[in-house]
Amino acid sequence: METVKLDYAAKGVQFFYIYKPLAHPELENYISPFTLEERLMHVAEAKRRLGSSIPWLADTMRNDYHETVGRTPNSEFVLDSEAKVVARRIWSSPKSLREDLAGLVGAVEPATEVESLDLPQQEAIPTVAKGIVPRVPLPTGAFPLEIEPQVSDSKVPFYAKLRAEGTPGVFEGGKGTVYLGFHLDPLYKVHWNNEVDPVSFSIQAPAGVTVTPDRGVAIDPEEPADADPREFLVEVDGAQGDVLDVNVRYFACDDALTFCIPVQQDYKVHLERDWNHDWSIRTEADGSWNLSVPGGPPKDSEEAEEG
Amino acid sequence: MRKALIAAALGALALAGVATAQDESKFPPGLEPLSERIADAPDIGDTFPDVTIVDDEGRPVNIRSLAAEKPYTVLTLGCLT
Repeated sequence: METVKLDYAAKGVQFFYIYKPLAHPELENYISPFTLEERLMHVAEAKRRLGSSIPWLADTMRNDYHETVGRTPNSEFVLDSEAKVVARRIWSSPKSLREDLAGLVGAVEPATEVESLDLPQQEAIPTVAKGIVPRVPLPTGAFPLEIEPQVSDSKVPFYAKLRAEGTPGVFEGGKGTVYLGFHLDPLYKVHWNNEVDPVSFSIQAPAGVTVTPDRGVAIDPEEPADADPREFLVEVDGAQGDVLDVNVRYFACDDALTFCIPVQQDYKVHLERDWNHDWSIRTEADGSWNLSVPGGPPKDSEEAEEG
Repeated sequence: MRKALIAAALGALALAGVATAQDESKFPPGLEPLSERIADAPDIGDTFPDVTIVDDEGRPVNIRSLAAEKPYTVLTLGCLT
C-alpha cells in the first residue's frame, strides 16, 4: 500500500487507514480496547509496528464506519471529491488499487517496488512470564459475545480486560458454555501480582437464568508475577439476549513497579454475538498462533475476493 | 511463513497484499461470509454515508468533508489483529 501511496499522492489521491475493532482478539496478545483513548493507543501501536507514511484515522467506539461498510474486516473504498464510491473491494489489494487509480488518474510508470522501501516491521510488545498458568481450552464453535465494561468514576483503566465468548447455543438461544477470559492489556505494560489474593470473579444473573459456577478463583502461581490470562468456563441456561453482571477482582502492578493496586471492575455480558469481531486467535506462550478458525473454513488463500 | 502471517494479521497494513478467500458453503454459526457483509456497504456510484470518525488525536473527521479535499480518497480498514 505504501508504494501505491508514494506513486499516486502527487496525482491528487489521498490515502488513509481507518482503525476498526479487532478482527481476531488475542492475536499477538492484543486485546480489544474499551475506550476511544485506548483505541488511539492501538493506532499508535499500529504506526509503530508498520512504519507507514499513510495517516491513520480511527472509527468511533460505536463502530460507525465499520457498520457502514458491512463489518468487513479489511475493505477498501475509493471516493471521488463528492464522496461517491468509484471503487471498492472486500479485501484490500494494493495491486488492484493501483489498477483502479491508473484508470482514474493515469498510470505511474515505473511503479515503486516494495523492495525499495525501508519499512522494517517491529515486533509486538513483549509480556512477562508467559506460560506458567495452563490455558483453558476454548469451547468448540465459540465466538465473541457482546460485553459492556462498566467504567467507574475512579477512572482506573481496565488493565485486565474481559473477553467473553459463547458457543452457538449461547448466542442463538441463551444456553451453552461461556468462556470468560481476563487478559492483561499489553499496551499498559502490567502484570498480575501473585503475592496477594488471586484473580476472582462472580456473576449475577437475572431471575430465571442459571450460571454454573457463578463464581470462581484462579489458580495461585508460585511465580511472584506473570501476565498469563485467567480463564474460566461457565454453563449458562437462559435466553438469547439475557444479560449477566460479571465482577472481577485482581491486583495489578506495572512492569516498571511504580504502582501495585487492587482493582475491582464490572461488566455486562450479553448472551448475543458481537458481530464486530470474527473468531479469536489464541497466542501461545511461545508466541505462536494459527489463523484458521477451529473446525474449518474460512481458510487462507492467495485468491482475492473483490466486490 | 511467520512473516506472511504477521502481514495477514496487520490486515490492511499488509504491504505484500495478502488476500483471503472464504469457502461460504462451510461457514460455522456465528460467522458471516464477507460477500454477505459487503452487500450492506455502499456500492459503486453511491454517495458514501455521512459518517464522522476521528483522527489519531481524537479530533472529528467527517468522511464526506475529507473526500472533498482531494480528487480521490482511498480508505482502507485495518487493525492490529
